[in-house]
Amino acid sequence: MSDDPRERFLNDLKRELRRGPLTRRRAVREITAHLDDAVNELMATGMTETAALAEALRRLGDVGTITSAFHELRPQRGRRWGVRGLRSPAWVAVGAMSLVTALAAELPQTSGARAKTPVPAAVHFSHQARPIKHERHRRRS
Amino acid sequence: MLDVAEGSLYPVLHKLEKEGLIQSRWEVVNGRRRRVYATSPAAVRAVRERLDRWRRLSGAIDSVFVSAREAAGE
Repeated sequence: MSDDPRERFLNDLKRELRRGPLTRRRAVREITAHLDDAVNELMATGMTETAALAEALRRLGDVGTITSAFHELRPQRGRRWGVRGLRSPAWVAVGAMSLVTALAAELPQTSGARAKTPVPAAVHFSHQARPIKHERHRRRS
Repeated sequence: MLDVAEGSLYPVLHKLEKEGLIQSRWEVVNGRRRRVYATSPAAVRAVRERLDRWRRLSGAIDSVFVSAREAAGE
Protein backbone atom coordinates (compact mmCIF):
# COMPACT_ATOMS: atom_id res chain seq x y z
CA MET A 1 0.00 0.00 0.00
CA SER A 2 1.36 3.40 -1.04
CA ASP A 3 2.00 6.23 1.41
CA ASP A 4 1.52 8.78 -1.34
CA PRO A 5 -2.09 10.06 -1.11
CA ARG A 6 -2.27 10.54 -4.89
CA GLU A 7 -1.21 6.97 -5.62
CA ARG A 8 -3.42 5.59 -2.88
CA PHE A 9 -6.44 7.46 -4.24
CA LEU A 10 -5.80 6.31 -7.82
CA ASN A 11 -5.18 2.70 -6.76
CA ASP A 12 -8.42 2.68 -4.77
CA LEU A 13 -10.26 4.17 -7.72
CA LYS A 14 -8.91 1.51 -10.11
CA ARG A 15 -9.86 -1.24 -7.68
CA GLU A 16 -13.34 0.04 -6.82
CA LEU A 17 -14.50 1.15 -10.25
CA ARG A 18 -16.50 -1.85 -11.43
CA ARG A 19 -16.81 -1.04 -15.12
CA GLY A 20 -15.65 -2.48 -18.39
CA PRO A 21 -11.85 -2.24 -18.81
CA LEU A 22 -12.03 0.50 -21.48
CA THR A 23 -14.47 2.68 -19.55
CA ARG A 24 -12.50 2.17 -16.37
CA ARG A 25 -9.18 3.06 -18.00
CA ARG A 26 -10.70 6.19 -19.53
CA ALA A 27 -12.34 7.27 -16.28
CA VAL A 28 -9.10 6.78 -14.32
CA ARG A 29 -7.12 8.73 -16.95
CA GLU A 30 -9.59 11.61 -16.91
CA ILE A 31 -9.74 11.80 -13.14
CA THR A 32 -5.93 11.59 -12.92
CA ALA A 33 -5.64 14.51 -15.39
CA HIS A 34 -8.25 16.44 -13.41
CA LEU A 35 -6.37 15.82 -10.15
CA ASP A 36 -2.98 16.82 -11.58
CA ASP A 37 -4.41 19.98 -13.17
CA ALA A 38 -6.10 20.94 -9.90
CA VAL A 39 -2.84 20.41 -7.96
CA ASN A 40 -0.93 22.60 -10.44
CA GLU A 41 -3.57 25.35 -10.29
CA LEU A 42 -3.58 25.34 -6.49
CA MET A 43 0.22 25.38 -6.35
CA ALA A 44 0.16 28.39 -8.69
CA THR A 45 -1.80 30.24 -6.00
CA GLY A 46 1.04 29.68 -3.53
CA MET A 47 0.07 26.40 -1.83
CA THR A 48 2.67 23.76 -1.06
CA GLU A 49 2.44 20.54 -3.06
CA THR A 50 1.18 18.58 -0.06
CA ALA A 51 -1.52 21.12 0.77
CA ALA A 52 -2.52 21.44 -2.89
CA LEU A 53 -2.86 17.67 -3.24
CA ALA A 54 -4.93 17.44 -0.06
CA GLU A 55 -7.25 20.21 -1.25
CA ALA A 56 -7.54 18.76 -4.79
CA LEU A 57 -8.42 15.34 -3.34
CA ARG A 58 -11.01 16.91 -1.03
CA ARG A 59 -12.65 18.70 -3.97
CA LEU A 60 -12.60 15.58 -6.10
CA GLY A 61 -14.51 13.62 -3.46
CA ASP A 62 -13.81 10.21 -1.96
CA VAL A 63 -13.52 7.09 -4.08
CA GLY A 64 -16.82 5.71 -2.77
CA THR A 65 -18.76 8.80 -3.89
CA ILE A 66 -17.24 8.70 -7.38
CA THR A 67 -17.68 4.96 -7.90
CA SER A 68 -21.25 4.98 -6.61
CA ALA A 69 -22.06 7.85 -9.01
CA PHE A 70 -20.68 5.70 -11.85
CA HIS A 71 -22.76 2.79 -10.62
CA GLU A 72 -25.98 4.82 -10.30
CA LEU A 73 -25.66 6.27 -13.79
CA ARG A 74 -24.96 2.93 -15.44
CA PRO A 75 -27.61 2.14 -18.08
CA GLN A 76 -30.15 -0.32 -16.64
CA ARG A 77 -31.07 -2.99 -19.16
CA GLY A 78 -34.57 -4.42 -19.07
CA ARG A 79 -35.84 -1.92 -16.50
CA ARG A 80 -38.55 -0.11 -18.38
CA TRP A 81 -40.87 0.79 -15.55
CA GLY A 82 -38.75 2.33 -12.87
CA VAL A 83 -38.78 5.59 -10.97
CA ARG A 84 -38.20 7.40 -14.30
CA GLY A 85 -41.77 6.65 -15.33
CA LEU A 86 -43.03 8.36 -12.20
CA ARG A 87 -41.22 11.60 -12.98
CA SER A 88 -43.77 12.82 -15.51
CA PRO A 89 -45.62 16.05 -14.61
CA ALA A 90 -48.90 14.12 -14.29
CA TRP A 91 -47.48 11.76 -11.65
CA VAL A 92 -45.88 14.61 -9.75
CA ALA A 93 -49.19 16.54 -9.82
CA VAL A 94 -51.01 13.43 -8.53
CA GLY A 95 -48.42 13.07 -5.75
CA ALA A 96 -48.64 16.75 -4.81
CA MET A 97 -52.45 16.61 -4.82
CA SER A 98 -52.44 13.54 -2.55
CA LEU A 99 -50.08 15.33 -0.20
CA VAL A 100 -52.26 18.45 -0.07
CA THR A 101 -55.41 16.33 0.46
CA ALA A 102 -53.74 14.39 3.26
CA LEU A 103 -52.57 17.61 4.92
CA ALA A 104 -56.03 19.15 4.62
CA ALA A 105 -57.57 16.07 6.25
CA GLU A 106 -55.05 16.16 9.10
CA LEU A 107 -55.66 19.86 9.73
CA PRO A 108 -59.43 20.42 9.48
CA GLN A 109 -59.15 23.96 10.87
CA THR A 110 -57.35 25.05 7.70
CA SER A 111 -60.17 23.88 5.48
CA GLY A 112 -63.65 25.32 5.95
CA ALA A 113 -65.19 22.47 3.93
CA ARG A 114 -64.46 19.79 6.54
CA ALA A 115 -66.32 20.67 9.69
CA LYS A 116 -67.49 17.24 10.93
CA THR A 117 -65.39 14.10 10.66
CA PRO A 118 -65.80 12.36 14.01
CA VAL A 119 -64.53 8.86 13.12
CA PRO A 120 -62.35 8.01 10.11
CA ALA A 121 -64.13 5.64 7.72
CA ALA A 122 -61.13 3.31 7.57
CA VAL A 123 -61.62 2.39 11.24
CA HIS A 124 -65.15 1.11 10.58
CA PHE A 125 -63.98 -0.82 7.57
CA SER A 126 -61.19 -2.61 9.38
CA HIS A 127 -63.52 -3.63 12.24
CA GLN A 128 -66.05 -5.09 9.82
CA ALA A 129 -63.53 -6.82 7.62
CA ARG A 130 -61.71 -8.80 10.26
CA PRO A 131 -64.48 -11.16 11.53
CA ILE A 132 -65.58 -12.03 7.97
CA LYS A 133 -62.09 -13.09 6.99
CA HIS A 134 -61.72 -15.07 10.20
CA GLU A 135 -65.07 -16.82 9.62
CA ARG A 136 -64.11 -17.97 6.13
CA HIS A 137 -60.85 -19.34 7.38
CA ARG A 138 -62.59 -21.32 10.10
CA ARG A 139 -65.08 -22.84 7.66
CA ARG A 140 -62.30 -24.16 5.42
CA SER A 141 -60.57 -25.91 8.30
CA MET B 1 -24.70 26.63 -2.75
CA LEU B 2 -24.26 23.08 -4.05
CA ASP B 3 -21.38 21.05 -2.68
CA VAL B 4 -20.82 18.45 -5.38
CA ALA B 5 -17.74 16.25 -5.50
CA GLU B 6 -15.88 17.16 -8.69
CA GLY B 7 -15.19 13.49 -9.36
CA SER B 8 -18.90 12.72 -9.69
CA LEU B 9 -18.93 14.92 -12.81
CA TYR B 10 -17.30 12.17 -14.88
CA PRO B 11 -20.07 9.56 -14.64
CA VAL B 12 -22.51 12.28 -15.76
CA LEU B 13 -20.28 13.26 -18.68
CA HIS B 14 -19.92 9.62 -19.74
CA LYS B 15 -23.67 9.12 -19.60
CA LEU B 16 -24.38 12.28 -21.62
CA GLU B 17 -21.85 11.13 -24.21
CA LYS B 18 -23.50 7.72 -24.47
CA GLU B 19 -26.81 9.49 -25.03
CA GLY B 20 -25.21 11.50 -27.86
CA LEU B 21 -25.64 14.84 -26.11
CA ILE B 22 -21.94 15.66 -25.86
CA GLN B 23 -18.80 14.62 -27.73
CA SER B 24 -15.28 14.36 -26.39
CA ARG B 25 -11.72 13.85 -27.52
CA TRP B 26 -8.25 13.84 -25.99
CA GLU B 27 -6.17 16.96 -26.58
CA VAL B 28 -2.69 17.90 -25.47
CA VAL B 29 -2.62 21.28 -23.71
CA ASN B 30 0.74 22.57 -22.39
CA GLY B 31 2.18 19.08 -22.68
CA ARG B 32 -0.71 17.51 -20.72
CA ARG B 33 -3.38 15.22 -22.07
CA ARG B 34 -6.89 16.49 -21.44
CA ARG B 35 -10.31 15.20 -22.34
CA VAL B 36 -12.20 18.05 -23.98
CA TYR B 37 -16.01 17.92 -24.04
CA ALA B 38 -18.34 19.80 -26.38
CA THR B 39 -22.10 19.79 -26.77
CA SER B 40 -23.62 18.09 -29.80
CA PRO B 41 -26.52 19.53 -31.85
CA ALA B 42 -28.83 17.03 -30.11
CA ALA B 43 -28.01 18.72 -26.79
CA VAL B 44 -29.69 21.99 -27.84
CA ARG B 45 -32.92 20.13 -28.59
CA ALA B 46 -32.64 18.15 -25.36
CA VAL B 47 -32.15 21.32 -23.30
CA ARG B 48 -35.23 22.89 -24.91
CA GLU B 49 -37.29 19.77 -24.24
CA ARG B 50 -36.16 19.57 -20.63
CA LEU B 51 -36.87 23.26 -20.07
CA ASP B 52 -40.37 22.80 -21.47
CA ARG B 53 -40.87 19.75 -19.25
CA TRP B 54 -39.63 21.66 -16.21
CA ARG B 55 -42.00 24.58 -16.94
CA ARG B 56 -44.95 22.17 -17.26
CA LEU B 57 -43.96 20.38 -14.05
CA SER B 58 -43.46 23.58 -12.01
CA GLY B 59 -46.73 24.97 -13.45
CA ALA B 60 -48.59 21.82 -12.38
CA ILE B 61 -47.13 22.01 -8.85
CA ASP B 62 -47.92 25.75 -8.62
CA SER B 63 -51.53 25.17 -9.68
CA VAL B 64 -51.98 22.50 -6.96
CA PHE B 65 -50.66 24.78 -4.24
CA VAL B 66 -52.60 27.82 -5.47
CA SER B 67 -55.87 25.82 -5.40
CA ALA B 68 -54.98 24.46 -1.92
CA ARG B 69 -54.40 28.01 -0.67
CA GLU B 70 -57.70 29.12 -2.20
CA ALA B 71 -59.52 26.19 -0.55
CA ALA B 72 -58.00 27.19 2.79
CA GLY B 73 -59.37 30.69 2.25
CA GLU B 74 -56.00 32.40 2.15
